[in-house]
Amino acid sequence: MSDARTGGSRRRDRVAVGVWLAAVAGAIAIIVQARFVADLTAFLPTRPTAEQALLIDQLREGPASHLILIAIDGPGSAVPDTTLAALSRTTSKTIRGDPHFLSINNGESLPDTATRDRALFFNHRYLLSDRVVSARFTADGLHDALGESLDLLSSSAGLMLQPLITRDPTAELLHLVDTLTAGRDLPTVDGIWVARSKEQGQHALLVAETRAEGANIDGQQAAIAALRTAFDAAKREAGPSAASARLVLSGPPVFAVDARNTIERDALRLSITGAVLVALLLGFVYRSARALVLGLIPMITGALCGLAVVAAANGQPHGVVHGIALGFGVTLIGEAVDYGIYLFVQGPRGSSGDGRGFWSTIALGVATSVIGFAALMLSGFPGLQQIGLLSIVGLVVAAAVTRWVVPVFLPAGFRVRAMPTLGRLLATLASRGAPLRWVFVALAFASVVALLLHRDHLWSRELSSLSPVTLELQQTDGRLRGELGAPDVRDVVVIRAPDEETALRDSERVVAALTPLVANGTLVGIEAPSRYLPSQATQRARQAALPDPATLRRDFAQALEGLPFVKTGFDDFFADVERERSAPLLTRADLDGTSLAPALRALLTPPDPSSATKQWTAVIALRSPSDEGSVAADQPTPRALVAAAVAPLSAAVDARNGQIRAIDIGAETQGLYAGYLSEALRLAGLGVVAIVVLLAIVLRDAARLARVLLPIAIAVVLVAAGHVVFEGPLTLFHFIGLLLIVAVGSNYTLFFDRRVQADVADGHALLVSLVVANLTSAIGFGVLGLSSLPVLHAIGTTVAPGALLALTGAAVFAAAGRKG
Amino acid sequence: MTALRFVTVLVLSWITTASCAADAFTARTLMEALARNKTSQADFVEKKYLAALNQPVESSGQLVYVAPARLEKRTVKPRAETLIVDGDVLTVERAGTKRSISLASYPEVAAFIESLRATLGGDLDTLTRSYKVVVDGSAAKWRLSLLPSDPKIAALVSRVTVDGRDALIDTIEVLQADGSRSVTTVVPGTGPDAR
Repeated sequence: MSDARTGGSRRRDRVAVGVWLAAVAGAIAIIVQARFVADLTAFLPTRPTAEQALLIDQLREGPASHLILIAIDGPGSAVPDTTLAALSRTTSKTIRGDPHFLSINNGESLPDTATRDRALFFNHRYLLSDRVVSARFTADGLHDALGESLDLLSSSAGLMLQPLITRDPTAELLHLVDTLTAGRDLPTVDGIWVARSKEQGQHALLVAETRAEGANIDGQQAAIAALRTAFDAAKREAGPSAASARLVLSGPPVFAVDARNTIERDALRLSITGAVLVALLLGFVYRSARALVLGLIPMITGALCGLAVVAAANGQPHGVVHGIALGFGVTLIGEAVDYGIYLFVQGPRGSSGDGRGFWSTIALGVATSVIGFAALMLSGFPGLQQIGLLSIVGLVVAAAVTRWVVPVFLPAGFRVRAMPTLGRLLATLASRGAPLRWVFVALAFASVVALLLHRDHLWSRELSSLSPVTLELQQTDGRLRGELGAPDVRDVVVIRAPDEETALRDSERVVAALTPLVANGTLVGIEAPSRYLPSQATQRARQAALPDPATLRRDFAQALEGLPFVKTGFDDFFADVERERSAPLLTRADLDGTSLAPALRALLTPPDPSSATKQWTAVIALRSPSDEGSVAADQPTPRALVAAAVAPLSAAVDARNGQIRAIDIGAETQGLYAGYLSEALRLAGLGVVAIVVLLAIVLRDAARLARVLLPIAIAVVLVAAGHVVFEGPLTLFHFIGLLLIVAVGSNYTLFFDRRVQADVADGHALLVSLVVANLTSAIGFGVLGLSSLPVLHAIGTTVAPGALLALTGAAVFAAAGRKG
Repeated sequence: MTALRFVTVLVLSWITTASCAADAFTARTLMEALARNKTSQADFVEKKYLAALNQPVESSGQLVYVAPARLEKRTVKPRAETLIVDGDVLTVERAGTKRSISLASYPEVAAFIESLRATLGGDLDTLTRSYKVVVDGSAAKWRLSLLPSDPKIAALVSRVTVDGRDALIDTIEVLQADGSRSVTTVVPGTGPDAR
């Protein structure tokens, strides 16, 4: 076309280049403002059930999303336990003054906190204690309470009650200390948590709470950096005995930051490696710097536009792109570069019908891929939608740029050096490949059998299989969680309410409904926000339960009958009760600075200012007995009992637009995973049908259809079986890899079909271009396979062998078609 | 003269013997005897005399001591409660809940428990660091009085009196700073293991 340029085509070229430059500039402008996120929540559905929505919120913004679990390890007991304790103490001291953190707990009983705790408990004991009901303050109730106090006085625990007995004769303070501060049962050295384990030797343990929201990865990163700086300073201060001590971190903020770093690093490092290798190969083939640069333009433009469209489609003003989609954008290298290769090596000559045939083959390949990825766009999961959108935009843009922009910059009659020897060799190989088709069929058959044998564990059921968190970090997390006695809470009741008071009252209702289950041993414990901060209504009820001074004095005197207490000296008790009857009620602010504040924060969350719902969230964590399996088959499970106990409350609050939901986090997560996996598979099935229909319409020939589809199908089946047999169950990422095999492979089979069909004059060039394209795919994706990130690893190890198999298969079946 | 002198010598020698005997039974002698107890088990009855009560409250159970740092107090009546001090960790188990604290967080309690362990383990040096130690009586019937010199302990305890025979402790009386008093009678016995 270049040698016969008319004024019209030149105008068209100018328009094409103009549009291209504008698109690239626009895309860059959008991308630089985009925010890249790396959490798994993008793979949770957009149209969730009520339970799923609450779960997603908890994962994304819940209190647990900003807890950092910390160990200070002294490998091989090289660091004395007292030094570890000192490191923990110094680091914590720095962190307590650091604005990135809300709190840090290292076991230390801080004099200030302990004093404030005691003051809060003591001054407000009649508002805080759940034992304050009117029956307890009758003569009989007081008599029983005094009897219990007498027993307590004889015990060691009574030492604490002894000096207070005339002021707190019903021992409410001791009860509060017992129930509200039941802390972690961890061993200590010098008052600091220092544990010993066989694997890790001795190590200090800490838990820190960052101020930034869970989703604010920059904030989490700054907090982690502050923590490391504090530890390094503490280490320097501690001197040579601390030399080998090291900081081990885990928890959601660490995961988020680590995942983002790995995604950025791997995506960058591997895409550069892949790009360099591909460029070397293409440089060797093209022997032209201009062609090399031009060949990269479609891929780069496609990736930029794809990312920009995804960013623009997800959120205002700054687009949110999932890191996995970003990583996936990089994989477009493998396919988009192919268009340039096809153009330069076998490209359309002149303006003959041959050119039209070339471009229509490319267009058909693009259409096939687009259909495959369009299936993902129908998904209810934002992560899948992003991958689908990015791929479609990327491929269409790359093909369009190859079609209309790249030729503009090609010198008239440009053509890369023919490689006749290679071409002849390939042609010979291809023509003799026909018998191999039986090998392919046999392998495909074996693969289908293998897949059927593994049909029960074909797909991984763990959401964590998608997690960009490394196995090592996952293990560290398991270890620290176990040691800190913070096992994953599996069952929770989540409450949504329009205000704090309603949330706390709902929490009290749930506790009341579940208390029988604790009493009969179905549950081991309930952790509820109303325990730390009773609702105003409950506090008022407790005030009302306290008798007036005259009644109290009379009933108390009666209660003392028959007990060995002295008869006088309880005036402080009467005064305290009287004061509490009209004292201002406790609010969240009263808990500030006490050890209850972090506990309450973890369970009661004010509305997120950025969310439209303006609802308070209360979480009630349920601890089940560890031997869950021991429930007899005919007995309802603890989970079912909890659900039954909570159901009437849920129904009641639904009416006023609140929510109370019992959630089994494990089951919900599994349910989500199973949900999107089956959705992805169902959509892919639709995509496959659509591809077959499209090709059937275009090719209008059953034999050609088989020739185009069979090699791809066989490649997909072989790769899937290989993974299942040698690597284990497939994940969503393998599934996307399989889709990419269809996208890349369809180009090969369509070109081979074209070769068979048209018997194109320059068949050798076609073969060379396909082999070069195939090698670039194998290199680009093979390099990704080296990544530690599940997404890149899975896609790389799927597409690289899949592309090789698809090309070989295409050649073999084409040879058979030619013969026949 | 001879007779008188004889009597004098006799008297003097008696006095000397007596004073020798008194000198011989020092705090150190007692401590050495106590230090020979590597493990001991005993039943106890503790009576607490409190200002707010007209009559003492009584509790009973077993005591176990394993040199040098483990102390168990297993109360059976009126309510089951186990208190174990091992090294720096104090664990209280009561009504199904178990709670451990580090003694380092509670210096007064730590100092007091240290003195108990030092007494049982015969560690005079530790005792004299925090108390003025006075020993009266003889090996057959002695009284060890501990008067806190450490203000941290004095804030909690005004005097500890231990009565015993040979290497055995009979009673421990603790006079607390707030005026309350506890008397623990110890009967060497079977201990919890032989129950």
